[in-house]
Amino acid sequence: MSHVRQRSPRQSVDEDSMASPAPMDGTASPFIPKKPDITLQMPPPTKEGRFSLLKGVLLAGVVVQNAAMNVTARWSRIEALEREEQGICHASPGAVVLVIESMKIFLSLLFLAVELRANPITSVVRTTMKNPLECLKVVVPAVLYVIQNQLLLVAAANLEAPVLGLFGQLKILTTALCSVVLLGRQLGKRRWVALYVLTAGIATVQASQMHSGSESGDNGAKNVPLGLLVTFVVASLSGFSGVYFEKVLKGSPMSLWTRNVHLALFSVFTAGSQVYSSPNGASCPAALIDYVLEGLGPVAWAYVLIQAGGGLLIAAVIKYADNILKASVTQRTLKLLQLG
Amino acid sequence: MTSPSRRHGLREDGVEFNTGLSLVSRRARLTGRHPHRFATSVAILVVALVSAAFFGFALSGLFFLGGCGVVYAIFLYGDLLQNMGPCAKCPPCLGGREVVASPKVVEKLERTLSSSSSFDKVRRRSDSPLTLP
Repeated sequence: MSHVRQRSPRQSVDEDSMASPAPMDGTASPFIPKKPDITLQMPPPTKEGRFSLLKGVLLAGVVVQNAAMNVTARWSRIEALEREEQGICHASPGAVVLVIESMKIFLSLLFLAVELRANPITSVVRTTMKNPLECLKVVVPAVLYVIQNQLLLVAAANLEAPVLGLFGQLKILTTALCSVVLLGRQLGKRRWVALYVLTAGIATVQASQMHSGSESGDNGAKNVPLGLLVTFVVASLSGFSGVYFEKVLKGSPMSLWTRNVHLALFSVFTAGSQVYSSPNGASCPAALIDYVLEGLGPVAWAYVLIQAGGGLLIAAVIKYADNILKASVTQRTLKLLQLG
Repeated sequence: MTSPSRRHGLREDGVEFNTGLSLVSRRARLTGRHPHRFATSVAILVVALVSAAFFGFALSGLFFLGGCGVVYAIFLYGDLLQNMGPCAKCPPCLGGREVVASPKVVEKLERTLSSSSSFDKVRRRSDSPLTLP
C-alpha cells in the first residue's frame, strides 16, 4: 500500500491537475484548505486502473452478443418451424441445449489448459477425485440451466426478439427477490424503486403486445401470455441459480474453469438423457449424433455459438472491465479526497 | 472557465462534494460499475431497431414507453445514473448522486472543513457516514 502523498510516475496528467489546489482566479476559496491535514491510503496505480481499449471492445462484444442471442433464438425457432413444415428434420430445444453444453465443456477445457499449461482432463479428474462432494454441489444449477435454456427457446418461439429481450430483464427482479428471501440481503430504497419501475415497464410492454394483435411481423408464432409466463419461470430459475451459486459455491477453492467443466458435464448428462429418451421425429435419424448434426440449421448453429461463447465473454467483461473501473474509481476518489 | 472550487469538487451554492466519480465519468460515465448491465440496455435498443428494420416488428408508443421504463430500471438498479448530468441532482432513490465516505475520512473532513458554514448543509446518516445531496 502506498501513500497518496507519494506521487507515482504512472499518474496521468489530468489526475495531477485535478489534485492541484491552486485556484485559477488567484483567490483562495474558503471551502478549500490550503494545506489539508488528510492522509489517505490507496492502492498503487496499476495498469488495470486505466480505462482501456480492451474494456470498450469487451463492452461492444457483449452488446453484440446480447442482441444477437435474442435475434438468433427467435430466428432459430422460426427456422425449426419452417423445416417442420417442409418435412426436414429439426432439432428439439433439448438437442440445442445439449450441443451448447458440449461446446462449453470444450471451451472450458481449452481455457483450463491455457491457465494450467498442463493436461486439463487430468487436472479435472484429479480435482473431482479429491473433492467429490464439492463437485456434486453443481448438480442443482446444472439441471436448472438445462431447463432454463430449453424454456428460453420455448419463450423465443412465442415472443418477438425485442419483447423477449425486455421480458428477460425480469431476472433482475427475481434475482433481487431471491437474494432478499434466501440470503436475507437488504435492498436500498433506490433498488426497490428500480424493481417497481421494471415491473411497470414490463407490464406496459405486455399491454402493447396485447394491443398489437396476434400476428407477428416475422412469420413466427406469437403468444404473449404464454411467452411472458415461460420467461418468468426462466427468470425465476435464473435468480435461484444465481443465489444458490452465491450461497453454496462462493469461496470454493476450485478453479472457475474446472467448475464450468463440472457444470457443463452434468448439463450434458441431463440434456443428453432427455434427448435420448424422447422421440426424434419421423424425418430424423435415430442415432443421437446424426440427429443433432442433421437437425440443427445454420441459425440454430449461430445461436449455439453465441450462447456457448457469450457466457465466457460476459465472464471476461465482469472480470476485466468491472475491475478496471472499480480500481479507477477508488484511486481517483481517494486522490481527490485528500484535497490537494 | 471552471471555478476553482468546482474543480476541486466543492460547489459553493449547492455544496456538492464531488469525490471523483464525475472525473471517472469523463471516460466511463455510462458504463458505471456494471458494464454488462449497460451493454444489456444498449442491446435491447439494438434488437428493437434491427427487428423493426428487418423483421417487421411494430414499434408502438406503448412498447417504447415500457422499454424506456425497463432501461431506466436497469440503469437505476445498477447505479449507472449517478454520473449522468441530468440525473446527478435527482433524489438518490431516483438515480441522483449519493456519495458515501468512510468514518475515518468523514472525521478528517470535519476537521478540515469545520470553518466552512456550508458544511452544515451536508446531511449525515446513521447507516452511511456521509451522504451528500
